[in-house]
Amino acid sequence: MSSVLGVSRPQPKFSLWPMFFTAFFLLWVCLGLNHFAASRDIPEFRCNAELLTSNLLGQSDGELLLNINHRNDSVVLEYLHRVEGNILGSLSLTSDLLGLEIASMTYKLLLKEGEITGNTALDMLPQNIQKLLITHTSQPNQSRLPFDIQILDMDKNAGYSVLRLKPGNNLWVCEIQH
Amino acid sequence: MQIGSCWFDASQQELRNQASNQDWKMAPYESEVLSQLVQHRGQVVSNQALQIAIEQHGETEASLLAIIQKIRSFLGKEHDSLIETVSDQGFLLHRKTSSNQQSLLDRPKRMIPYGRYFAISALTLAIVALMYNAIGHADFFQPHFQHEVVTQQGKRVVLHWYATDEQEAQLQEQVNGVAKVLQSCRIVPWTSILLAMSHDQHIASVLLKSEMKESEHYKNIKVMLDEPGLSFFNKEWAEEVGACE
Repeated sequence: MSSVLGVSRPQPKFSLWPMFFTAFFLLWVCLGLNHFAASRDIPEFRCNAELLTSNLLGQSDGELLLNINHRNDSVVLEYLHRVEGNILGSLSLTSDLLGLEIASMTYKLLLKEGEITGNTALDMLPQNIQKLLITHTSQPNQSRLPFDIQILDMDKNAGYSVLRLKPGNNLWVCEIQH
Repeated sequence: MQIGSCWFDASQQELRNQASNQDWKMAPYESEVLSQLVQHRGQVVSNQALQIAIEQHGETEASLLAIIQKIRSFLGKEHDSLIETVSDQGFLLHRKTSSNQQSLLDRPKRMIPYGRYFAISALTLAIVALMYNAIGHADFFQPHFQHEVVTQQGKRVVLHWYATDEQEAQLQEQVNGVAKVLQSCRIVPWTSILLAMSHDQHIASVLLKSEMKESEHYKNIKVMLDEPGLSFFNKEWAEEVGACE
């Protein structure tokens, strides 16, 4: 006896396995790309700014240079005060690169030591840097300053990048070193 | 009725494997199950209907799954896929064996019901939403202030100001003053001007940017301030440093 009840065409359904495999694959691709991007070193930069000490007459006091380099496993920020081609003083800050916050294109660093040479006026530097140096000379093991280098703009073709240093909140336009 | 390499004689309740030359004298309830599948070949016969067919022969102990497995086993490995299990529905006897039928890579049909599909999709979306909330969001990236200034020549210059949270309230008015200075300039040879005051309001950063078709030009100025604020940025100063003419 054949039963009319319970005989039907196959109801359409969906197979999830291909979608799961695809999503799983894409997830690992994204994680891999994220890890690759986040683990990249900070580029090296050469930055240059005209230094004006008088805000009324625009009187120039030379140039303030900032070089960002790799040295061994550290990132070194070197400030130089140059007047008519002569380096009057410099400040070298050694820091550890903690990582890259991709969403905001911000490199996270930890300043660990600084060295000042020449007669660069201390008050030419951001206050937090001054404090770090003062603290470091009195308590060398306890001076650590977290700071950020945010890339606001980067044009690799032109070879320039605009950086914002925080928490000091200073802007620099820099040449990208290859 | 030919099923794979077997011949099914419903009247004799016999299934003969022509390849191995084996005969199976089926029990009435076993034959009834196979008859149901044969009669509705290409269609899904529900579990309920097959169970009724078994119970019609007074058999209450036999398991439908065991019967199906027994039939498949007799059909042989080459043809056991002729009987397909349609989950939560029943069984389907195909007209011919499909060559590479594997459940893992099956066509996107006849695997799970709509309800389960939407439940899993909803769960996946919930997980994605949780992960999105767990991931840190982008820090404040845009300048606090961005203003487009039209110079006397009709050229548009974009003024960007990057401020700390503490500075925003204090310097808003002064940035407006900078915008007015630029508006009063006859010529501004730059496409954008970026301003920032250091955290201690000791140094102002003025970045002049010119975007031409073939290249970009920049000028970076650091101003050591006698007093906090952007009051230094007046027309005389702007002309002195080349911000405007």
